[in-house]
Amino acid sequence: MRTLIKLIKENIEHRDQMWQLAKTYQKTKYRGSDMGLAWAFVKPVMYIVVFYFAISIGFKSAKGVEGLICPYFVWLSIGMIAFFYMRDMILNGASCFRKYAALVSRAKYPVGTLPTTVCVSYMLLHFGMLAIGIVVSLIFGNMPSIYWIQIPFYMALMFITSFFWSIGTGLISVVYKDFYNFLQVINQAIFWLSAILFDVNGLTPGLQKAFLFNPITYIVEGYRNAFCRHVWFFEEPVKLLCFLIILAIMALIALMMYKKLIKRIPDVL
Amino acid sequence: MEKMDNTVIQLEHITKNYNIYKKNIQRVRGIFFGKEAAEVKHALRDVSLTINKGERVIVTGPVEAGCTSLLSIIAGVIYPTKGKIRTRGKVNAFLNMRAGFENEATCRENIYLKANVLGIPKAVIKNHVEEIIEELELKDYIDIPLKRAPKGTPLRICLAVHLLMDTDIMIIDENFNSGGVHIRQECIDKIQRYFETHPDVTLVISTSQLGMTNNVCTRGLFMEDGVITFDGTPREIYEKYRALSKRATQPNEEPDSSESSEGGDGMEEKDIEQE
Repeated sequence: MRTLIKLIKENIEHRDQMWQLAKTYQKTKYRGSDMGLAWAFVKPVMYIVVFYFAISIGFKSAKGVEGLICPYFVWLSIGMIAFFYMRDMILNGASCFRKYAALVSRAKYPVGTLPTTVCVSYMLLHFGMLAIGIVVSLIFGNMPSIYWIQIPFYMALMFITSFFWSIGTGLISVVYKDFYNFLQVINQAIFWLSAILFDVNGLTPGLQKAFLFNPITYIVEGYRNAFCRHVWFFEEPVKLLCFLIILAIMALIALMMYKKLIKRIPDVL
Repeated sequence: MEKMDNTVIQLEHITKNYNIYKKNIQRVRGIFFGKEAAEVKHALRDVSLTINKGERVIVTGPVEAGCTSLLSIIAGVIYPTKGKIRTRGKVNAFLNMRAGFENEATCRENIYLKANVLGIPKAVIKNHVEEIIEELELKDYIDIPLKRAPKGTPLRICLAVHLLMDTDIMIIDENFNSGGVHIRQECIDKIQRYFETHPDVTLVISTSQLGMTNNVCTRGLFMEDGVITFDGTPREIYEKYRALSKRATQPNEEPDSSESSEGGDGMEEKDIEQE
């Protein structure tokens, strides 16, 4: 608990530094290409379109999702947009300390802000993607509703989850490099294990229970509930509870790692 | 010594060990289950040191003497294995000029980035950025990526931004070998001028440019194998270091940490002659 307070204090105290670094992270990533930052949006949009065609034309299962108040394409896009953020965070969060090795081991910099830096910097992209998602939704005739105000709630959950994820995995992958390679391998599997392309509610009860413990599924479903189903988050308390339990465990592990490792990583990096 | 008034840096029995592991998994075992490392490198052995306000200390020694570890610990970047360290005031740590730079960003952006890493508020750097560009004659390539700028540019930008920082203790671990003789001289002159106008700032520096010590430094420390073996005047340190360089028959083979490279040696002599 004390570690958490210390960490939050550090982040608040150095928020300006963190914010500048987060902005630069995305700004310089596509430097040198004419389209620049647009690439950050073209790629995921392409991804969504390809999957839409593959599934709706190839597998003809587009009508498999029940209870939607909007077209399948919107359902797919919204879910994918939430997923893209978490997919980016799985690997980039895990390399948050390694990417800034020079700042950790050779400069006097508030190291506790580095996980936040990466989370915030991808959050900026997510805002852009979400704007695209809203436009898509409007084009397909899915008008704004009161349920949309849940989005900031799910966004906050997503941010907190990736924050603790980055701290925990970021530190582990510094002291144990193989862990990062392992994450790269399972990154692909996570896409299929998170129910992005198919509807969780259409699965057998046993499988549905298994998905309760996947935080990515919960957030993706949350986005979809807000946009495509009009379900409030408090209407599914069991899911929320399971998510919070997983989050608490993640936070606990992350903070333990932080306490144990933060003074050691400058020696390793 | 009066602890309350004058001491700005106090080290008590500082020991720093690095555990060397052959495999990553051994490190994990070492950290989480307390298994002993295959090999332990002793970077600092029971070092005690007091530095007073306004002192300018040069630290030098052979390769792997522990100079860099000592400076990093004073800067608060790495943590000692054992011992206590106290510093008073704002620390300005110039340990690695690359830290905070982004190769893809332009020189101008990198001035802001570096300032951000050092915690200089944006408003302050904004007021000084034109001044820096003017002074370093960066006008022609200020808006091209740093990676295409002339070789000494990162070092010059880095030093300029560091000297802007409002600071009580300055720590420099740099050989100023990037970019050629005139850039080295420019940096050394700059540091000299800075300390002429800032008499209250304490300096701890580890560099192979010992020539500057006579003009800037007031005290010298010589380190060997993790221990401070000599504490005297910069001139004495200079002689000791010269003797050491002469002993090393092939200076080229030495790793480039806090040690002399061929260029460094020539420069030192020049500096001394100038006096």
